[in-house]
Amino acid sequence: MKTASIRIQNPTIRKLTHIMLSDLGFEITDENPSVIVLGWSDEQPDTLNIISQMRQVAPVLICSNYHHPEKIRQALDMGANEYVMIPFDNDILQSKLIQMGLL
Amino acid sequence: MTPQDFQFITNLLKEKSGFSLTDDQIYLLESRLSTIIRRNNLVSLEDLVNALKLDNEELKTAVVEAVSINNTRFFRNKYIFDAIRNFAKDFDGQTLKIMSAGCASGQEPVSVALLLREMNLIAQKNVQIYALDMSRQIIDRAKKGIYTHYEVQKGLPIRLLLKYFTPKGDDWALNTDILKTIHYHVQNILEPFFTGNFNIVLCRNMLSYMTPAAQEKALHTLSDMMTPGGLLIVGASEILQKTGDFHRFPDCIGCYRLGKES
Repeated sequence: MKTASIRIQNPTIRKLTHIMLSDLGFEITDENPSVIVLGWSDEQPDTLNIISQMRQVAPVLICSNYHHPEKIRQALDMGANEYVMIPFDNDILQSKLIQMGLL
Repeated sequence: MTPQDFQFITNLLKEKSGFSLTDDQIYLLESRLSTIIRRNNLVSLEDLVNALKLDNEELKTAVVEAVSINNTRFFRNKYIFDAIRNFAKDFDGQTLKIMSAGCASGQEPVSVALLLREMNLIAQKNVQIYALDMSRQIIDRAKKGIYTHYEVQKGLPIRLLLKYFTPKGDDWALNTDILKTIHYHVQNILEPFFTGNFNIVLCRNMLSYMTPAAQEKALHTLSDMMTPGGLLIVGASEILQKTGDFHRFPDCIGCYRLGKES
């Protein structure tokens, strides 16, 4: 079974992501995840510093309300595998996971 | 909706676009026609059918366009793009002509353009991408190369978004050097149109909605426009009744080659 670890501080986004990933057949767990969904926002500012550490565990999908190309580039430069801009829907999350080879 | 009304609309579609709807696709009509009903201050499908019976040509066109528009995303069905990449890699001609038939808002031809640009082929060869749809409204939109926040996140890798798009308010604009490699046209593929030496034709999820006669005619038109050995790509789940001069391409779902037995 595919597993995902969700590290998003915002409770609403975390809950929605949890529901969507479960619908896509992922078990939500922090143990040996096949993907880490990592939030990045003003309330969760340290994300860039931990991407490389997370990458040693699993591929990293950044989930952020930053839409500016410079911000996105920073996350990719730090090693993020994919990037989803908030708001997003089931279809978008699914297509990101397909691109990451997880579906 | 009465069976007579449903029959009326399916006949209209058959006559105008060659599309044939089966009884179980009634939901498709209801969802896709709701915007037209609202926009024309009508209340129901019955209302719409009555208006259509008054020979309102503009309304007829709107209905045909609404039902035949494909839902689309970037790089839809990855293996198709692998097939195009392999074909393009081995292609030794100087001019590579590609057609995206039923291109809707342009995600398919844009994906092809991005693929070839990433392969560096656009710089090395004369790449021409023609994209057709019979809806003027959707072609006008595609020509602008503007996609919403939601659209650019469906199928488009983030690296390609950064590399080839620029934010424009909440939307994203495709850079003009890519957009200008795509020639958009309002065109129904049942009607004769430009000739010409196409090497790759994408015609996905269109032929199988047609009546057998319309499908045969469309395949004939396409084969006339393609070079021998050219690649025709149809939808993964499409089963073609009579493929004429097209032969199945081994190991690739929905791929056919013109005039070459596999």
